[in-house]
Amino acid sequence: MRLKIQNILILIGIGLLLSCEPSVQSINYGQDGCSYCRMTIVEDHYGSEIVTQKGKVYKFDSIECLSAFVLKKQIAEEDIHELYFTDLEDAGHLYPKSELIFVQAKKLNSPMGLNLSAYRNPQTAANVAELYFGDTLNWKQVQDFVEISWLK
Amino acid sequence: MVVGAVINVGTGFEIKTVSSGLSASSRGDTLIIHTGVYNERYLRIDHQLTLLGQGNPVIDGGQEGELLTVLADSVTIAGFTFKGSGLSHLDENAAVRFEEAHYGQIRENIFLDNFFAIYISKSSNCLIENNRIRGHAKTESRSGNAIHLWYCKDIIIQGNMVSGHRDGIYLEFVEQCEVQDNISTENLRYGLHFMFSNHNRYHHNQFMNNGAGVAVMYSRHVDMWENIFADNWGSSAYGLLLKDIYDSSIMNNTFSKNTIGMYSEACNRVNVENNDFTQNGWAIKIMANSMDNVFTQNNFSANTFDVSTNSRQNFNLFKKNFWSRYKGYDMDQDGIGDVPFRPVKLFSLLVEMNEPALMLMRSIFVEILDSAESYLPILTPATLIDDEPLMSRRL
Repeated sequence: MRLKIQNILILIGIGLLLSCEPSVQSINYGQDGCSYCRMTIVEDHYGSEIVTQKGKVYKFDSIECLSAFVLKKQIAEEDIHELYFTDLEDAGHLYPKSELIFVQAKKLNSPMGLNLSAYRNPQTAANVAELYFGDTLNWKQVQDFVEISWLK
Repeated sequence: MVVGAVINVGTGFEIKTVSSGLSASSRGDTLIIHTGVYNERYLRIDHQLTLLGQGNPVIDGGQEGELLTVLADSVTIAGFTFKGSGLSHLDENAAVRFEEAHYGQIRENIFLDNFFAIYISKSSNCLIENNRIRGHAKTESRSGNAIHLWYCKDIIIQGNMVSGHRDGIYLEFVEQCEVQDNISTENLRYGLHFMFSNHNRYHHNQFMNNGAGVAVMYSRHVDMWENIFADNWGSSAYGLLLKDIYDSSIMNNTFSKNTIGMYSEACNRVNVENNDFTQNGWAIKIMANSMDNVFTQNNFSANTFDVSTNSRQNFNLFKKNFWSRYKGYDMDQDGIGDVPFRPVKLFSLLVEMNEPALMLMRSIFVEILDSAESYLPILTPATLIDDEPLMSRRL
């Protein structure tokens, strides 16, 4: 009997641990607000998200807002579990930073005006960059670009 | 000066299509398009022209691409119905687009089910007047803005009715504009949205039932008066959202039945005067990074919370407002209460720190907490008080 209770407690413990596992949360478009600029998130091609080590979720309406939030240290670097962005070709779905290539293009307007977008397929990214007068960027370059454009 | 010719287009005339009418025209002509449905798109105007609809002709793009692009100065477009510019996630397709086109006019048109309706880019001295614009944002989550201005100057937007788009009226990098007498309702996000736009005025507009109200962001010298902000309900909905606003004024407006009447973050030197805040969840939420703002002669009636903030610090002035919650007295009968009023309740501070605490609203515990704090204020901002509260409503 005693063993049983112990087992149950262990199971509950594991359950609690699992439920704290940081995981991506889908964005409720038209309802959720951006944690950086406070605007309601409506464009499902640009939604972005930070998931912290503890499983807390911050949602953003654009890549530039997420980037500025990190740059302004509104969250400590070591607390970040993963960054997620939307593939412009696959609206409404979030993908981890490592799977994506970014584009900054003069003629492709993004929600906050820095014209950043993200793609899983490198070929698509290159095509968009060419068609809309832009360049492909990695995450470090995105951060540098946001820093120069907004925070300097 | 040569007076332009008049060219008629329609089923009963030699010229049957708008595009052939445009190619037949020369600078300064007037094109009269007669009643009927014209299934045309990618129309271009590259010289001065007056385009008039007779009997409300319909130009239907069939949900693909753009309808009409104007690339010349002094073009007038009046009396049409524009329908169905194409949805796209890469291109901002509009029904009528002005591209570096100055002194133009868009008047008395109807816009139905377009992605973007009116898109003005890098233009100045234009008039957008008395148009009726209705989008399909209610059924289609992807929608552009009804009136979209980008890098513009000296534009007048007046007497328009806009609904069912992403934002009703959107201004980005725009200077010296006048937005007046418009009615903006039931848009997906904001009724009116300013971004990086200095020296603008908007007044006598009505913003109701929009997803999130009106947002004025990253701008200086914006004057807002006699507008109505009403019925904006939702978790991130505001009557008026102010972020990074400097040297602006908000006067004689009505804020009623919004989740948050006015939200202010990082705003400085904004004058909030003679406004009515009635039946909002929060009348005013002001974040601690807002400084030197003045709130005076406002009426606060029947709001769940009058003022809420996220800190003990306060660098703003509240003076001579009417607070329906004020329980003070006026012995010298000068119309001004003899004891100061503290609009920030301890409970609102708790809610600010931990939103689910709202559950305790109206519980006896909260009542006790609030009255204890009002006698011995230690947690609410010490300087956020109205020293001279009005005894009766300012009329």
